[in-house]
Order: sequence, then structure tokens, then C-alpha cells
Amino acid sequence: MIRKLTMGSALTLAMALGCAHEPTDELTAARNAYEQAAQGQAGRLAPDKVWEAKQALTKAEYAFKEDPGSNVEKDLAYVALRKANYANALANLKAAQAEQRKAKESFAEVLETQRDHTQVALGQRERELEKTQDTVQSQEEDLMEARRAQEQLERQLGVALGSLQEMAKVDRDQQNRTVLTLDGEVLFPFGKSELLPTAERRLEKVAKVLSKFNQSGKTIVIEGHTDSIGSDSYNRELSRKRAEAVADFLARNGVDRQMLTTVGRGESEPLATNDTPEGRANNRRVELIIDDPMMGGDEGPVYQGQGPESQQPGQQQPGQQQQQQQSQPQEPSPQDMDRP
Amino acid sequence: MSTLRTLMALTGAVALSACASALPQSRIVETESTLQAAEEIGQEDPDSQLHVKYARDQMKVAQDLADDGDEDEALRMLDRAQADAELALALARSTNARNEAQEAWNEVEEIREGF
Repeated sequence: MIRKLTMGSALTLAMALGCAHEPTDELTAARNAYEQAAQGQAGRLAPDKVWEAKQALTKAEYAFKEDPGSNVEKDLAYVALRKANYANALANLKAAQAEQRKAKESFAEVLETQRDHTQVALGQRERELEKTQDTVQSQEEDLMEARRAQEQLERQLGVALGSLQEMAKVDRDQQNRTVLTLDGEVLFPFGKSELLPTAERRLEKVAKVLSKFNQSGKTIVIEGHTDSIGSDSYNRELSRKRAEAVADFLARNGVDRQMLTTVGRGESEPLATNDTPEGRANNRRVELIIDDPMMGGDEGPVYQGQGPESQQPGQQQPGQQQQQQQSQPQEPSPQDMDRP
Repeated sequence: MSTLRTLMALTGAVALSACASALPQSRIVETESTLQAAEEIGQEDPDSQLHVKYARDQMKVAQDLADDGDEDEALRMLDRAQADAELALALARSTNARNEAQEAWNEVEEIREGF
């Protein structure tokens, strides 16, 4: 306001003294530039330069009063105009520098925010990782526990199977499955599929052992086999009935029936030659094949049989099995044939 | 390179002023130095370049006036040249600062978008 009044006074004075003359274009431009600078941001950001412009304008006004239209007035007005422009330029410079500082502060703030967010996200990831590690560890412990339980079960079953070696051969086949081979002659009367009373006593022991497998997830295939005497169809039917008779007996004596399947193989899979009574006796048999679909042929139970008949499975190859059975001394059997 | 140019220009300005007794050497050197700075940093600013040209033209006129013995007019013309030189430098600095501020804001936007 003071500045305005001062300028107004100067203009009035100039008009009063130089009423006969118009100010030069330079002086008019200088007055306008000064007003613009004083009222604009230069008045706030570069007041010292605005003051210098005012001083220069005062000199020009004085020259206008003393010698209107002269080169002196023009030159001084020109300098006053440039000084007003200079004040504006300097104000713009300071405003731009302030903007730079503001941008840098914003940059730092954004970086700070990003760092905070990154740290939060990192912390969250770390917590998730720890949780995952805990879960993995817990699962590993569960797995170890399950393995220990499985091994315990296998050991128990191995002991149980070992106890059967008095009445059955315990071997492993090519798929590493446990095979219990029961002599057909001690199970069934000649040409029949009804169990002998003495056989039932033996099978009770077998059932007691096999019932331990009920919850183990194992399967038991009961295969009936005959010698080659008689027709194929007769032998197959006889072997099937005998397998079912064994399965039914086991089921009645505590073995889960769901675990059991029966097959009649007839004479198709002989263990020995059918040309001799001993060979035919070996071929007449019932096999109980114990399989564990979950184990996939891993190490099976360790049999802990006793006495000279005990035998470690896996030590015997399939080819050896046949040879060994053939070499075993056989009592001559009155029932050399399955057929009447 | 710019130092060499400045030195040559100042040497020329001193040689010019040596012929004229009316123009103070220190002001000529000062004005020339301001113009050199404005030329160096105001290459992309047409307004600044225009005032550099005004200043140089008026320095030449000032020298001519001094040579003619018109000392007062010569000094006033030197005042005009000096005012234009200072304005040219201020305009160049202001434009550069504005561009740098814009770049700084662009960087802020870039990291905001990248986040």
C-alpha cells in the first residue's frame, strides 16, 4: 500500500511538473514492470531487487521531470525496466529452487514410505516362512513317527510270520511279496475241497497271525494249485474251491474278509516236475501271497523263525526255491493224485 | 575451454577499454564476465540469449560513444548493457532451475509409479 501510494505520488508529481509531455515508452514500460514486480511474487521473494528497481525508476521519473523525452530519461527508464524484470526473474529462480527442495523432500518421503512398506512386507514374509518351516518340521516329525510305527508293525508281523514256519514255508516272490506255501495234502482229503480237522488246527494259528494284518492296509491273495493229473478245468475248479475254503476259514477265525481274494490256478504254475510223485506232491499246495500296495516292494518284515527250518526271506532266489523244494526229501504219499 | 573463452573475452574487453578513457575497466570486465556466464548456462533459453545480444550491442555503442568523447551517454549505455547482462544470467538460471524442479518431480512420480 505504501509502495502504491509512493508510486502514485511520483506519477502525480511527474504529471504536474511535466504536464505538457508524455512519458517515453521506456518510462511507461518501466512503471508497468515495476508495478507487476512489486505486486507479484517478486515483492515477497526478492524484495531487495524490487527496491533496487524502485530506486532506478525514481531516477527515471526525476529525469522525466527535469528533461522529459530526453535520452537520460530513456536510458534510466530502460535500466529501471530491466531491474524490475530482473526482480521477477530472481523471484522465479527462488520459486523454482523451492520447488526443487519440495520435490527432493517428497522423493525422500516416498523412499521412506517404500522402505517402511518393504520392511513390513519382509517381516510378514519372514513370519510366513517361519510358520512354513514349523509346519514342515511338524510334518517331518509326523512322518518319522509314522515310519517308526510302520517299522514296529513290520517287526511284529515278522515275528508272527516266523512262528508259522513249522507248518508253512515262508518265502518271497519276484515282486518281493511274502508267500506262505501250505502243503495241500495236509489241508484237504484227496480230491476234496473241505478242510481236514487237523488242517483246521493248523490254519487257526495262521488265522491268528494273519488277523494282525487287518488294519495294516495289506492284501492277501489266496491261490490254489494242483498237479497236472486230471483235466485243466477240473484242476482249476478244485484249486479255486480249496482257495475259497481256506479264505472262508481264515475269515471265520478273525481275518478281515476284505483283505482276502481267492484265485484257482489249477496246474498252470507248477513248482516242480509232475513226472514224479514227489514233484506232484510239491505242486499240490495253497499259497497265501501277502502284499502291501503302499510299501511298493520295500523291505518286508524280518522273519524270526526258530529251529533248523527257519529261513530268512530274500536270501533265496525264485530259481533256488524250486531247486530246494525238489531236493527236499519227500515221504511217499498214498495220495499221489488229486483226482480220484 | 570455457575458461579460455572467458579469458580471451576479458582480454578483448580490457583492450577495448584501454582505448577509451571514459569507461571504467572494472565494470566492463564485470559485465563481460556476467555475459559469459549467461551464455554458458543459457544456451537453451532464447530470452536469455536475446538479452545477451542486447547487452553486447549496447556495450559496443557505449564504446563508440566513449570514443566520440560523450562520456555521460557512454556510461548510461554501459548501465543498460550491465542491466541486460544481469537479466540474461538471471533468466538462464531461473529457466534451468525450473527444468531441474520439473525433473525432480518426474523422479518422484517415477518412484511412486514403480512402487
